[in-house]
Amino acid sequence: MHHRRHFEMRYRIALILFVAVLAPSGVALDTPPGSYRQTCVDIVMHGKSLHARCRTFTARWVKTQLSDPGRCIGPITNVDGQLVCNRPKTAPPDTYLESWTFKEGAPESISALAQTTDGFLWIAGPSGLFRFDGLRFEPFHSPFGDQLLSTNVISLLAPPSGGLWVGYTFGGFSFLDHGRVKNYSGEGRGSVREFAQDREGIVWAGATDGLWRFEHSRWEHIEADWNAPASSNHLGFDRDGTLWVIVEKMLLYLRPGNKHFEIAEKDLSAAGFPGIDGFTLDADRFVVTGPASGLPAQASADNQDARPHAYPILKGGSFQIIDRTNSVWIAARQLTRFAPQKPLYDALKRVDAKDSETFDIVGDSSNNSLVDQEGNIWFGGSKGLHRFFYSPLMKQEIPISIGSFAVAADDHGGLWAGSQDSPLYHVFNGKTETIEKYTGWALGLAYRAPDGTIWLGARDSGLWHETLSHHRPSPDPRNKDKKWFGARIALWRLTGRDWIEPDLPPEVADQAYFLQAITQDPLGGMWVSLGRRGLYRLADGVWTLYGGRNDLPKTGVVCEFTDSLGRVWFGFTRNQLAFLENDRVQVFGPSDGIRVGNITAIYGRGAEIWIGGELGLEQFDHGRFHNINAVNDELLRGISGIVETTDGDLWLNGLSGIFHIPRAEISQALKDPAYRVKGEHFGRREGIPGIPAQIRPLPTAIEGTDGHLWFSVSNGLLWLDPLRAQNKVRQPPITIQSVSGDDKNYELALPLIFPPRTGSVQINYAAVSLSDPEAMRFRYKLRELDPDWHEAGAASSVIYRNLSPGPYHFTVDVSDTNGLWSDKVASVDFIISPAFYQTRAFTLACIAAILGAFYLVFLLRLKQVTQRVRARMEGRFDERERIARDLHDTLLQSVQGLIMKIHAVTQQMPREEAARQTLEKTLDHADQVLAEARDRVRSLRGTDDALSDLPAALQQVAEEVSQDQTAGVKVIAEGNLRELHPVVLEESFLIAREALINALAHSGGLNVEVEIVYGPRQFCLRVRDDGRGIDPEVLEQGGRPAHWGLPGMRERAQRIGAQLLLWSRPQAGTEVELTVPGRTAYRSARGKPRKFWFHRISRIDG
Amino acid sequence: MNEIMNAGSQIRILSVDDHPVLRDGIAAIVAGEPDMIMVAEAGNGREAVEQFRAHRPDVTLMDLIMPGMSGTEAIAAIRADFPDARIIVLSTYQGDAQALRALKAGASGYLLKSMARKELPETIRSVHAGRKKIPPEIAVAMAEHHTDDALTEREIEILHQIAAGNANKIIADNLSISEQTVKAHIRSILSKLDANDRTHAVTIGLKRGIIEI
Repeated sequence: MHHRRHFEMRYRIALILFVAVLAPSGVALDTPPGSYRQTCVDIVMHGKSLHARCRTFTARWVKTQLSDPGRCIGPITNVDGQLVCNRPKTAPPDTYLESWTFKEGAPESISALAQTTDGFLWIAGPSGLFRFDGLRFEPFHSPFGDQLLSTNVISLLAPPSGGLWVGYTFGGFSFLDHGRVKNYSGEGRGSVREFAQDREGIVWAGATDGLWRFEHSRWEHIEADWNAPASSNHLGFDRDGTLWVIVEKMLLYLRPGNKHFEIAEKDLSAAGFPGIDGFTLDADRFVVTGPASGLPAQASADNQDARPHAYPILKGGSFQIIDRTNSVWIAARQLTRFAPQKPLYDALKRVDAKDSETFDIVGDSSNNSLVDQEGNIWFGGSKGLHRFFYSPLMKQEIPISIGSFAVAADDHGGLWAGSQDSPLYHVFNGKTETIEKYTGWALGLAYRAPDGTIWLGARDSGLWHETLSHHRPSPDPRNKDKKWFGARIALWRLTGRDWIEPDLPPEVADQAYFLQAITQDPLGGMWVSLGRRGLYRLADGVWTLYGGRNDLPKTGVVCEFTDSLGRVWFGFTRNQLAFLENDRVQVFGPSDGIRVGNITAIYGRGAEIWIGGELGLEQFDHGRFHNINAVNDELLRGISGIVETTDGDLWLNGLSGIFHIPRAEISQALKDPAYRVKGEHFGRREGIPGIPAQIRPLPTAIEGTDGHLWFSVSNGLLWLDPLRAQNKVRQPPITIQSVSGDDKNYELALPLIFPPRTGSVQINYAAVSLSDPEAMRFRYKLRELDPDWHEAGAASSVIYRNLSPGPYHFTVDVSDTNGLWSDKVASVDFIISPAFYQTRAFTLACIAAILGAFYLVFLLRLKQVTQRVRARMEGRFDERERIARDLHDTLLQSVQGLIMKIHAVTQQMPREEAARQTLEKTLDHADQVLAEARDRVRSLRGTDDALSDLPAALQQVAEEVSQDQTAGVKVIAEGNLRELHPVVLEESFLIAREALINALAHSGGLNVEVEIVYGPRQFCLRVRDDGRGIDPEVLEQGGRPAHWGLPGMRERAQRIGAQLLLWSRPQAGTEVELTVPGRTAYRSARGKPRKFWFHRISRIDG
Repeated sequence: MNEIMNAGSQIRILSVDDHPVLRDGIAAIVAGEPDMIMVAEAGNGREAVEQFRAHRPDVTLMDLIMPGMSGTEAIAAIRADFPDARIIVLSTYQGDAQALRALKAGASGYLLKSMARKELPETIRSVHAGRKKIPPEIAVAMAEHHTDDALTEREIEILHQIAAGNANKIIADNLSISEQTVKAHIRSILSKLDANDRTHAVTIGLKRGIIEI
């Protein structure tokens, strides 16, 4: 009965609290943050003091105040009615170590380290030079085939201006830049032990054969006139520009601008620094100096002005390096890190074990240490490469950190935690308190109810049992009297300082079951899942299976959560989810869009609820599920812990580690389902010792009442302060590493001009983060092709194929895990030369050629047509020729013979006989006939000369015809008289004759004009009169039959491929125009007059 | 009797022409001249050479264009054996080349057939007397072309082929030479005759008697 009353009281308080949490009226918003707001009321600021009424462990309410809460760095908590500044001092970040040995591919016997401006770590050793991107060791290989002087590299220097200096064990230097190697082999034979660079950028080298200086593109040996040492063990510049050199036991220096080395200390051993192994270097490799360096500030008496203001801070038997958190790493036989509270020199004298850590890693030369741009501290040694780094992720030291811890926040920033294999712990302010009472119980469930009550679920590990609650007999734990050979489960509740064990349902209490999940509903009822054994609601001390409801799924509840709206959520296996709101149950399944598999985490600050499972993350929002994708799908696998901070950021504990998604990324993902969220990832490299539980205990991530986040993983408990954890990632520098065209590498230093017909252009780029090499995400664009960025993921090269000739501008950008794109992009310009056929000139030439071809086709067609006409004319010509030959060979010869015969006969007749006279006359006539016939034959052969002078011939026709006419005829010839093709000549003549006769006979005009134009391209013949013209009807009909002879003229014109046009208008005269293309018309294509020939023929004939 | 009486002083004539009717006409004219006697007739060049050998005429009247051996060839053949043979060319052509070729071959006279009726006896007598007899117009034409490049035998042959209407390819086949060579020859012909094209060349060739039909 007692416990029931107690419970009722608690319940009432819980209800009040619940209301207070849901509607925090009376809580001033301008009050400082902290978990006290949940357990205090009447919170106000009076001046600089914070006043409130707060609940004590015993649930009393007391007035309390905190002066000057502004000084608190962390949130404020209520500890038993007292407001306290939680963690007023920021805890130092934890140091983590990651190592690569020979087995992991690391070079052995590392002698030097350097980080080039593109972020790569370079490692030198007797086995050569290696490049390291945080994941892989890559032996240096020049894409251009350049060779190093030797594989035995001993020293390195990466100048801020880019490139890498290499020094060799057997002397000589090389400079590497963008894959090219420039060797300086002639200089020196001594081992180049160290490089250093002065303020002007001049590189110095300390070698066993003295000091060297690189100036004017060559290495100069520093000769004795500088008072320079003959060899060097260590050298370095301090921030004032003074060069410090250690040779054996001697310390020398060279003031900037001077050319004379001074001795600072002749015997360091004697001065209290035996076995000096190097200077103290800061993160940028400057020699750290101090006025009180421990050296007897002795200067050469003769030159007081040249004396340095400060001397190097040394420590015997070691060298020191200071990292970017100002921690000092002392490299001797062991490696010691400490954060000096005193001036460095004093601190070095005696390193306090209290604030130092020691690592069993031998650093044997100051060359093989490095502080990189991201703050990692690197040591290279004979056994490999070691990276030290700080992480915001804090390991919680626990006496027995075995198994997975069930965790629940306490009221004041502390934590209740326990695992199957460990006792129950209470963690507070970094200290762990073991609750001995519960040793032997396997803790599988821990829950902090909204009212602040802590609930624990445990299982007896087997052999013995003790009763824990105060209202039952509480035997001594070591009392083995009460033994059950079996197992049982128990549920405890912490109110105030008392643990209460409510009775479990009798059917499960003494079974070897387990308690899987628990949550408190707004009415104070506890929903307890026993997995497949059922779900019970505990209210007023009464257990009810499924809360007396039959609308809840009967499968095992994996996880539970009560949200701020009072909805009680149940996560099941196989994508099943349900919630109970007031008296209503809603069940969701795969058909509603749940795809996370077995649901192992439910969390939400507001109405939107996050669901995590073995396959992913989803958000429930008003009945719909939004799936979230990450840049790497692995980041969202096996989520068994979700915390949403007050900022809206998500922290997930999954199989790949802890993943922090900024709120902006979540918003983006909710807007665009295809979006892949980026975030901050803490994995194995950040020191996470194991994976979170996947079945129980759940949840594996909780928010403490001080705002810190706790993560439970196998074998460990981690926490971090989300306010301090953010933005730890530095934007990595992005560089174009190499560019190749058709697999041939091109030097980046020169203008990139690819030859014509370059098929593929490959661009390799890199952004190296030695801290988180797998987090790099790239995007790129080729300005000429891409309007927007291409997201390339982690791919570090891109190939463009079949780019057309022209200039290109390539840009690549990188983002860190926070999803922020860098503002410093890398870009490269290149040009693909056009092949001759890709030039503008060629295009123009092509157009010209096409036009030319068209013109040629046109000419050809013209020629073809002309040739057809000519062929037709030649055909006629040949035919006539054959007839002529026949006539000549047979008829004419025979007639000739007959004439001769008759002539002979006449000769025998008497001269005076009339018959003879008549016969002789007849014979003469016959001769004439024969001559005429012969002429005709010749004309058939086209050798009729009478027509050859067309104007004259037409003039003659005109004269003959116009004798009985009144009209005057004028024949005009224009142009050079050219020989016409015989057929053309004849037809033209006949056409002109016809037209002329028509004009004279029918037109009635007074003037008739014949115009003959020997044009260069065409022959033209016009006959016009000023007569009455031709009736349009006649014109339409194409000539009245038997009159005008128009059809005949047309036929003739057609035969010679000529055009015949006729213009006529009544009373306005008529013009006949014959146009013959020059090619058809003329015999001479060259237009050379042929007159001479005709003259000759005429003369012969004449 | 008359024949016997005059046998020693009569001019003995050989008439060569492929046209029998024309030969009859010439024979009739010769028969009308008492100082001449037709001793033989031939229908082509080969016969002409045979008849010349057989009869050794004083004057041979030779047609140029005949089947088989042409007149010019016959003249050359006869003159080769009988350098003193007197031959008059009886031709239809006024062309200079014909005449020139005939004269070069060894003809002593040239007479157009159209003029033969009236001038043949006188021409025969002149030639028999050892003089040359060429119509003045032909003499002038010959003089005009004296400086011109003469066509070679091959070119004349090709011109013949062209006149026969053969294409270059066929000419090449006929003469067993390449088409390129034919083209080269034609270029040369056109150039020498100052002709514009093949037809023109043929016309010129016909006019000048370089070729005949």
